[in-house]
Amino acid sequence: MTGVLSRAEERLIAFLERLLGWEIPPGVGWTHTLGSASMTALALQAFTGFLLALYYAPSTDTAWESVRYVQQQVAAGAFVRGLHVWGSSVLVVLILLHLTRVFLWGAYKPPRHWTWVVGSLLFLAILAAAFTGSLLPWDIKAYFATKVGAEIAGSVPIVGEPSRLLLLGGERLGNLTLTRFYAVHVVLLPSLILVLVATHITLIRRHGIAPTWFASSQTPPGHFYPDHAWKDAAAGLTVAAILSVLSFGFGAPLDGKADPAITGYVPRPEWYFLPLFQLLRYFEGPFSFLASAVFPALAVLALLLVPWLDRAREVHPAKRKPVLLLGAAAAITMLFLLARAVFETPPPSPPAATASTRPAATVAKTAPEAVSAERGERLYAGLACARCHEGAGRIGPDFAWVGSRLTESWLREYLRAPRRLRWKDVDVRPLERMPDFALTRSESADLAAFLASRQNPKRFPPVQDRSDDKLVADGQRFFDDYKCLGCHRIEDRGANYGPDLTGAARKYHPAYLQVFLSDPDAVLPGNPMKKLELWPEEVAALAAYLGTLRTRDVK
Amino acid sequence: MTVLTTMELMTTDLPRRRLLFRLFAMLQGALAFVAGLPAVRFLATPLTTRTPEADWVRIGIADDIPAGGPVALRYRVRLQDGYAETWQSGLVFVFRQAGQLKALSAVCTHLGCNVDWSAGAQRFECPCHGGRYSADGAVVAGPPPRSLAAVALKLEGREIFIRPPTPSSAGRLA
Repeated sequence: MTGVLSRAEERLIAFLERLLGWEIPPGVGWTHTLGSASMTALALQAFTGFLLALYYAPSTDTAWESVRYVQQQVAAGAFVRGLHVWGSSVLVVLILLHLTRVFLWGAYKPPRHWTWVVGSLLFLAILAAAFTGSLLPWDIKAYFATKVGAEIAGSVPIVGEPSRLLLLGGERLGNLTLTRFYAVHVVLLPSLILVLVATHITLIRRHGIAPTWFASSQTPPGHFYPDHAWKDAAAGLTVAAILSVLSFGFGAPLDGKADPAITGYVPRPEWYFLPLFQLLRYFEGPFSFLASAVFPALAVLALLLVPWLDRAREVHPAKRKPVLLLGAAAAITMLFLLARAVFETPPPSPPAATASTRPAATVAKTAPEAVSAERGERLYAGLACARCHEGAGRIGPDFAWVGSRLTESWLREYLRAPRRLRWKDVDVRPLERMPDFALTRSESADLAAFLASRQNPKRFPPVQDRSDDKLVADGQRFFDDYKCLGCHRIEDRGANYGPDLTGAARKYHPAYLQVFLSDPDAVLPGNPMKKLELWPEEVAALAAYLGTLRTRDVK
Repeated sequence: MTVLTTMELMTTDLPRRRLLFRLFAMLQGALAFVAGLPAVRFLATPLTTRTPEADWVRIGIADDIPAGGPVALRYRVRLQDGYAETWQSGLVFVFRQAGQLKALSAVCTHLGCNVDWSAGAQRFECPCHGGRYSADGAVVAGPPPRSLAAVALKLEGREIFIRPPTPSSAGRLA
């Protein structure tokens, strides 16, 4: 048995030596693993990207919802998405380190100049993939980062506007932008990247790894397999480990759904686009396209032309001081812009449901399915509820004291699936209807808990329940006398002009009903309910009657 | 490239390898043309498709606009977005100027972020790249190339209606 195994092992070793046993110059060591580590990260991107594509649906109505579904419902979904999101950052870091190593070692010199060019193109293709991928979650951050990106393209004279239209698929960011970014992100760029990787590796194989200046010529050359391959494998494993820690520890952020009408939001792009983002601040008016087009184009050109800008044969750093100084200047400029951007830009607004975007396991450990008004408050900010429900410009019910008005259980059910409540929602003001935010069960519970905490006990003092049969009977009589069913509905009786009062007891707090019935317009200014000039006893009786309307089918 | 007739093909003294190269190149070129022409037309669709203009939309009541600084009002409008009709929202600032109601698009003319009204500084400020506009929308500082776009506004009784600007064409509105 051991004989068979060891023979199989021997044959595998011989096979690997034949397949991967090419010669490598002395001095090849751990710094040379950065390229293959980048490739490992790239392969992981391809795989996690495929997994995410199984669920992703690119349209303005489904993109954000499907990403959130992956985050919350799919087993290990948050972890996989975390790998993919962090993977792009890790990939960019690895490529930058690899690029720096090749630059310092002078390994871009002929005959390896085309290897450098192909590698640079690969880097640009990966940045393009990062840019197109960042739109896909369709959250606020994605929306504005892409919008700024498209406007950068649009700021170039003459060709700008057509390229903006081609990038977005139309005048505005929407359905057509999502499908084309998706197509470019998952079909075009991966194919291009695959071809470029194959070319990069073929060129490396053809010209061999560049000899290092520090290894003595007496050292015998090694072989890729077995001398170096295990280091590459170790580096790849390290990358996977780092990614797992990042994904599990920090998760992938998902802001509130894209909202073009939000103000005060500072869309900070991914850190690797921050130097460009910062550069845009320094150029005003007609010169702003210098920052948005000319300098980036020059930077790309300089990167591609490095082998032609430094034509001398020497690879020893001591003999390439001017070149290295230029490279250092470029790196310092980038780092300076990055640092300025980080310090000058406040961190983006608190993302919606930060806790729930963590991998499910970490959430479950701390709070198993507990309702949290704190999470609800973050959700409230993330979904920008205040835009419609607070202040002078609001178009929905005032949320400053909503907890005094509506019960938590009703809010929870309503938020799960908002629906039309009044006749005016049907025809008159359809533009101002409550949108369905597709909240999950726990999110609507969190949000309802937060809303329920917003009370105004001074205005709606708690009332003691003194409803007896007589009071309820009186209330029912007043309800008929005042012809409430002329506007309201209970079960299948009445009309649709006012709110449906079926199950009103489960919806309204008694304290609210008391105050509201006394003077509807004072509580909800501009609302069409008549002021009935009721006696306090009538108010109490009506409230008591409404307090008996408990139906399972809450309207 | 010279296109060879059958006669020339039979009588030509071009070496065989060049002949075959021309044949090969012609066929490939024809293939690229046949496949490419519809592809180019297909890809250029966004250049020729015009976005439908939004209709007037009610955004609020005149009584709600104070004499002081501008009020941010959100609108939602049902618009065709590619293959589907969807809700699209946007933001305008409405204010009083010499007794008249005026509306400005909140979209910064630099790169399309939404500006915010700073009551302290009495100006609009863009959080992205530091654009600053005066209360009537003129550029005061920073990178924006143009003033904030004016938005058509009309009153019907007390109700304010606006005509939503095409949302993403930041400064390219007249």
